[in-house]
Amino acid sequence: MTPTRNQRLSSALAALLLGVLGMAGAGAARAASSAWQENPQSRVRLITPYQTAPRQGELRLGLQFKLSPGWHVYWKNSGDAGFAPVVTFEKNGLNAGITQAELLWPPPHRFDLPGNLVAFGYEDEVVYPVRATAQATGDRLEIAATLDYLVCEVDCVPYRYDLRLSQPLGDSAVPDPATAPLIERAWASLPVTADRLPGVSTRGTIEPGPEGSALLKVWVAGAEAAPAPDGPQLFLEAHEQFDADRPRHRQEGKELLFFVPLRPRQVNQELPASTPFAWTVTGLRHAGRPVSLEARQDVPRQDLEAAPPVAPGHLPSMLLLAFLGGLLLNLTPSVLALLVPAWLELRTAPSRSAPAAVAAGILALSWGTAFLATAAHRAGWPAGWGSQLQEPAAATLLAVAAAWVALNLWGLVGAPLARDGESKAGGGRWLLAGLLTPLLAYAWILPVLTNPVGFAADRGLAASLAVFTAVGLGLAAPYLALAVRPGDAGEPVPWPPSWSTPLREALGFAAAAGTFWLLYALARQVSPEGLAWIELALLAMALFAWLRQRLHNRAVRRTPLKFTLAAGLLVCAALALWLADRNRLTPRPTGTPAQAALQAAGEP
Amino acid sequence: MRSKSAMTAAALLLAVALVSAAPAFAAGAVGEVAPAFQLKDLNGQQRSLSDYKGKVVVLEWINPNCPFSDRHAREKTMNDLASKYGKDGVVWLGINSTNATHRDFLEPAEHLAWAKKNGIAYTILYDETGKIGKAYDAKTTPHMFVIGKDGKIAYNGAIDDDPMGRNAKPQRANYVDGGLRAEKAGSSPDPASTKPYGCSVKY
Repeated sequence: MTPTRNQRLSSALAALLLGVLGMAGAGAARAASSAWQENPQSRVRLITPYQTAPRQGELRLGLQFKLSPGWHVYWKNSGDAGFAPVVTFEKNGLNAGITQAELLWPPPHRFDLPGNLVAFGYEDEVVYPVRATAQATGDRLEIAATLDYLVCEVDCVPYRYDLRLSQPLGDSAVPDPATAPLIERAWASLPVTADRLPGVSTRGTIEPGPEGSALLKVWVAGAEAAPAPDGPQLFLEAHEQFDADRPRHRQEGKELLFFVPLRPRQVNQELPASTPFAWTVTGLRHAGRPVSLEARQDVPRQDLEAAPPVAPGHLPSMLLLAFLGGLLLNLTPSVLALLVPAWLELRTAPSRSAPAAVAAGILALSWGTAFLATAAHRAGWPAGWGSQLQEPAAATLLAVAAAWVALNLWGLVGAPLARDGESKAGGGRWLLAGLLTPLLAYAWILPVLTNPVGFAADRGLAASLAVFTAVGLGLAAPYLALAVRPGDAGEPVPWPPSWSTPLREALGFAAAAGTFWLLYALARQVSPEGLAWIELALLAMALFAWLRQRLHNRAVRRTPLKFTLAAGLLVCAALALWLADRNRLTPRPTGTPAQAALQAAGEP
Repeated sequence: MRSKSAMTAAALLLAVALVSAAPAFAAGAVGEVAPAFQLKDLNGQQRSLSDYKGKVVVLEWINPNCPFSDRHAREKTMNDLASKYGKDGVVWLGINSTNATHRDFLEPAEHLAWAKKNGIAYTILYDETGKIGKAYDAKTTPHMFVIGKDGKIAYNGAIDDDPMGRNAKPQRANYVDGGLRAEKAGSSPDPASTKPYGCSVKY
């Protein structure tokens, strides 16, 4: 059917009308924002949530950035470099529509820069909420502002723009469907004070250290930690007296406890009875939804000698939990990988000394850990279960241990378990198995151990020794059982003997899983280049082990060459630790409250 | 024998881990003795902090490819101060800690050309390993340190209170100017430390 002339005219008019309405709609959308100001690194504009703005009252505006990949803009504390955006609103000029304006700060992210420097800010896209007060006359709201900001990737570029926005005024506001949700989301994401979240509280203490250094401790109660990778992070606002190192945290009972090592900007300054600090904690959950918490408090000085008294009543339950935790650690992949073949071998050995040697090794390393944990706590580290994964050299040591056991199970290195056809004699081998077992276990985060280890760290060496002994006894329980009731050479094996080698090799992959998990944890602690070098060192370690094994299989008697390859293997393992420390993203905590504690106790 | 060598290996690994985890102390704080250094200038001549013993020394962390360093060079913020206090024996040293592999790194000829273009008359030193930058905990370009005649750090922080250079020079609070005036008068700079601004040092 061909359209009539009138129908064609009607269609044209309708199209024209739609076009005009469309343009009007676009005009209204433009009125809800200033024009985009663009540069190669970023785009920025001022937005309002309205098509028609209210004449008076609070205006919720937004400063919207869209950033090119890799570039970031800053939080109110920019970190070690950069600076936060500054918006200056015209308040007194002709048509100035707002009397007050304040830029607000969404929860920031952390950017680690080369040289252990750090920046706090936002990437991809961010809307900074702006709280303003409208006091407009006439028919239109006119907003004029000057924006200064710095956008950084590796390099930084400063920009300044004039932002202008004009939109109709009305007695009641009419929301804009495009910009209102953006502003609403930005406002909803803002950190809130604890009094706005039922049951949530936060508090801090500051412990003095030598040469003016200090340790800020911040507790958050009543909110859960969001799961990784969006877990809790603490951001400290810039402080006149201190520079802050990277905060670390651990769970302490139902509270989250953050440790922030502080370096003095000026040495030998007395720490007053209280010091003002402001912090934001992100990565929390409350009533099932994500929240960020902000606080501004006068933080009281907490002298070490005035630390909370020991609560001996808790000790038995903590020791029981520690023992249970130790038992459970036997089920983690890398521990199980060593336990199964070791236990099967010991089960058919009518000797008490071999399983006792393993248990002795486990307990010896557990006691060493207790000493280290106490020293670490006194040096300002958060010595909780899981803290070992926040320290690059420690995590790498654990990765090397797991890799060593994997190589052993694959038959590429000859200890702790003997290779097929080798002599299985030697208590030293079993002692080494014992020393390696806790190193395999420390790779895994076990919530049941959080409280006992945190409890011990706060209460000194004796408590720490008791708790780690309990963890060690739990880990050593399968071996202690064999020491008490030795195996029998005639003990039947539940599968054909030909299966034992494939089983061992398969378990090697479980041990290697420990290494891969630790490399994943290290990815947050060292630079990408550093991680690549560590992986290369581990690969080279495996290569040397394989070459040495090839010589062994061919029964080549080239002792110097074998020795060189063994030395190469050890050098690669040590190199991985050195690389972890050299490429660390986390600055070491400074100040040693330990020294202050020793001085307070009258020791030199 | 094998198990003995394995034990030695485990002990070695543990020892390396313990040594590498030893805590370090704060650097560059006001009141600390300024870390000594020996660095080459743009002409390859060796300069040492001890060459200026008994003098007030200003250290300026610098990177010509950083817009903040470049703006201050164009505005002659540092050069004017260096020449104003140079008459009183104050020594001004620029230090570039940009890593030699970083794209911001300038070869001596390029660096000299930039200095010449901006009329920079003071000495600029290379610290491409970043060792001296880390010893002072230099974070930004520019990051300023004033070392008093006693060899201790008297001021640590920003050059002024105007990161974006919005105000005319006379309207800015120049902290290094204030610090040098205080040193000349025999008093302590106030403020003695501020938060430096600018690009991160390209370690």
